[in-house]
Amino acid sequence: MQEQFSINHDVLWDYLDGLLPNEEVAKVEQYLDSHPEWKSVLKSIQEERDALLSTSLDSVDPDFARTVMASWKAEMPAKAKNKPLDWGILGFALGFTLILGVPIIIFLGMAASSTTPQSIALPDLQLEHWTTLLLSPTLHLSVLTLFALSLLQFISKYLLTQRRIQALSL
Amino acid sequence: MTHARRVNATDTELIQDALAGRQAAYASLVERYQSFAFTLSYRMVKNREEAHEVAQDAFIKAFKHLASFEGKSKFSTWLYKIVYTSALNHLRKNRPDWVSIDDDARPIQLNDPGVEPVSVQLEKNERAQEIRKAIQHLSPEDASVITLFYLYEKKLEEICEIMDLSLSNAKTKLSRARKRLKTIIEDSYSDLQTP
Repeated sequence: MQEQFSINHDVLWDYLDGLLPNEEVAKVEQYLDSHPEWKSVLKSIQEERDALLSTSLDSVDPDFARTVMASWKAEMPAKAKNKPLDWGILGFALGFTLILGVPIIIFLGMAASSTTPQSIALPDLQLEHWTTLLLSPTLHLSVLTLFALSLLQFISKYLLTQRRIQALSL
Repeated sequence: MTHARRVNATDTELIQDALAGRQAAYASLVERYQSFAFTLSYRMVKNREEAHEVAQDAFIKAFKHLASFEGKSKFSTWLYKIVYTSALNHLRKNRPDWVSIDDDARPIQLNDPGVEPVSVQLEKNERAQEIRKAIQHLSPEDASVITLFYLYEKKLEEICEIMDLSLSNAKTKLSRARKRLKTIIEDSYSDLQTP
């Protein structure tokens, strides 16, 4: 036995809103063909729906965006100040330092060893002591550490300045 | 990114720029969505000044949590959810009676199929204005579902996400909101006809 199909306002709204499954769409269309009195109802619902779709957005105050951005800017410096350590930037700086710093130290070491105290005629003990110090691994390590720290400080300050400039400029 | 490029940029591009610290990208997002956020807020709280405050507050909240936007839904859906929640919270705080009104208890009148609906009697240019006024008399939930579905052309699934509803519940609410809107329009029209 075939199921009785009937329509109402809700079904017609769903039909126009595209909320019905395909099989029900076919049933509605079939029903409308056999019941022309419902076509006028469909037309009036269509008009109501068109009116709903034609409503416009409410006008926003001209200063709206400016007010939002002013509030957001007020929050930004505090946010930047409390920003946790950026491990990405730190890692980049460390890698950069190692890539540049290590070759420099190796170069320094090689330059120093090519002028060994044995090949130079040393007039007194004081000069011999100074050149020995140049070959010292402790000096190499200290120079590398100082170099790395300075470079890190420079990169960190540069990136922080860039970020603040971007944050404060529209 | 230049101003012209920002105008043409997708939401995702603007969000990436904003997260990289470019404040101009935040401004572009505000300009793009300010009218939508304000309209939804206004239709819920029914007061222009309060609606501005709610919408502005929603933008600040959105920016604070922009990094948590995963892009699973559209940015607009995510933003409207924040606006909707902010407006509801505002109403709960300032006008708890508005939110607690049980709309299901209000009667819904329907015309017979053969009777020409009131909307047909209204002039075309007046009809949209009439509907806008009528929406201001709907409950915050009804006004939201009507606005999101017909004005913002959001799918029911997106409305479910914004309003935290099930699909069947959203469909029922949409149907009820439409009927209430119709009742309000008919009531206001009959008030005009009464000498």
